[in-house]
Amino acid sequence: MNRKHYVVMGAGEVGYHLAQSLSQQGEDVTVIELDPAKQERIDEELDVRVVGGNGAHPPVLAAAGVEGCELFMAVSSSDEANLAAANLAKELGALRTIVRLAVTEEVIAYRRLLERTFGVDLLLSTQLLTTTRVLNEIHGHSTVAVEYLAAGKVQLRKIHLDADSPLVKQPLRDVSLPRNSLVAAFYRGDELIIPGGDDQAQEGDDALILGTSDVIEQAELTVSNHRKVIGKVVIAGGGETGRSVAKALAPLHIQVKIIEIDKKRAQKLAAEFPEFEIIHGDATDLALLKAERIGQAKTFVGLTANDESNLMACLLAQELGVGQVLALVHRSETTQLWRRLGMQEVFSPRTLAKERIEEYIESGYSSNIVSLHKGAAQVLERKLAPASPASGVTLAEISPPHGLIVGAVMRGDEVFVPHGNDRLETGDLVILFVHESELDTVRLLFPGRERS
Amino acid sequence: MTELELIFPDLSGTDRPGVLRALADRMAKTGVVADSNSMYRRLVEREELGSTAIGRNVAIPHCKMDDLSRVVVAIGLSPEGVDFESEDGEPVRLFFLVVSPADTPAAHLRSLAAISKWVKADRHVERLLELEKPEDIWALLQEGSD
Repeated sequence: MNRKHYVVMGAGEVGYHLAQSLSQQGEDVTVIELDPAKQERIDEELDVRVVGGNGAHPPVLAAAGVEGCELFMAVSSSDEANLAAANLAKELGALRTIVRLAVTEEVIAYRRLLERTFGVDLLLSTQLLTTTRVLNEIHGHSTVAVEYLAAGKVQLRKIHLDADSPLVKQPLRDVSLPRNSLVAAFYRGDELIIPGGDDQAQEGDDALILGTSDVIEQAELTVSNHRKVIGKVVIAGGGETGRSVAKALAPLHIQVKIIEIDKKRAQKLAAEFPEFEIIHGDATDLALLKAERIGQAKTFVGLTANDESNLMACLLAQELGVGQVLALVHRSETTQLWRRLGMQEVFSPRTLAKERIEEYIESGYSSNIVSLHKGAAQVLERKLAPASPASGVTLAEISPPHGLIVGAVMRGDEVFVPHGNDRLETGDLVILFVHESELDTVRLLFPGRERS
Repeated sequence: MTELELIFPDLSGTDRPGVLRALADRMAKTGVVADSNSMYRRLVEREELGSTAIGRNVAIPHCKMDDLSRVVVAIGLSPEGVDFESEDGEPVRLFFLVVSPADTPAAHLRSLAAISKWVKADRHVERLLELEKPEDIWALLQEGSD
């Protein structure tokens, strides 16, 4: 068997574990690392080739043999170096690239732009992975993946459906979804359906839903289970992750308390989320937790930057009787210890990133939402030119065939999910869901460059 | 869907611009459009967004023109086949040209969709490509457009 060559940039926690598991599978692995101490460690402990230097420098990439490599994984701690290195690696002949970013969701909103510009096949945000995981736990259902479109104004979510889902109980046309949301696809085993009004999901299907950012949470709740009630949520730590979880919870009109130790940050949160109770204080302070009746919360999430504070706060919340306690731990090697100390749900952002990359490799590099089911369907963004046949025509006039959905329209800063009487205009950015059987229709009616 | 004099069984042109030029010239010659150059430019503008080849050796070049009163469909045959950058890599031998007034985008789009549907139907294209005389082609199209 031909060994495939993989190149990992950055021998931090994510890079180390990826290199370890790939080399244990018998693959040929090269690791690029700047820090001599880390170089030495990985050289001693793993059966991989180590190249010292900065991965954003072409000679280093060439020395690592990126030309023709199966996958280049830029997972160092520098976002900028990761993007630059991935771009160069692609130019030097790497077949595919992954970039891990630590940045906030605002940047991830431009994910497709970054992917296009830097030749990245899969862009991962540890923060987005973390937020998705936390929200899944709070909702009690499973968002399998999240994707941003139209500069972040539209979200796609892949959701697992159980028997209680209204999509399973009735045809799509009878399911009342919030305005500016829709169901774009059903996944059933190997089959993918771009549904029309008569289609109905089956128990165990996944559904792909689309919605503008203000309605996506409601759409998700509608689709997953009407009866699900989310109780009070307490978030310890109002940093980037805490803030992004809070933002996702805001449209749900539930009671949320955020405990933040830094006064300035607490004030900022209070301004951003007037509907939430922002407590300036220490989440490890038992008296404070008692005074704030934290024990009555349904869910407690420890998202502070400090592992020890998180552990302490979460254990206290558990002691006070909170039903569901989730703890974020940055040093993933300690998760076992935490579990032994009684923490039910512990997760590490780096482990989430590593798992996501392994999933991507195992799936044959096509687990990206944008190419659905190994190309059985695609999500395409098309800007309407004057010469586009769809310019100036209403959705009803287009009367899209089964297998083609016009999911959303972005016009200037406004985004909406179009209905029959809405007219598409030159300059609109339209988001299309297309089964492969209708790709030629799209080439004809919605011409434009396909995403490479 | 088309008229006898708008069937061109011997379309010249050996590449994409050449075929578009030939189509524009023939349309000007039959008097459907006044200005062959401006039609050629519109056709090129559309092709630049992506090839109008749809597979099965067929392309549907199209554009809107200001000086028209109705949607006009013409047919061109290129027996040798032309590389039209089709997704399936096959040369194009059958061209459906659609020219519509600028102010009827819905009719324009419906014509394109109808032709695309006709092309997908079983054996339509194969049968048409076996024909040479415009009369026979005309008859086959009549049969198909119910």
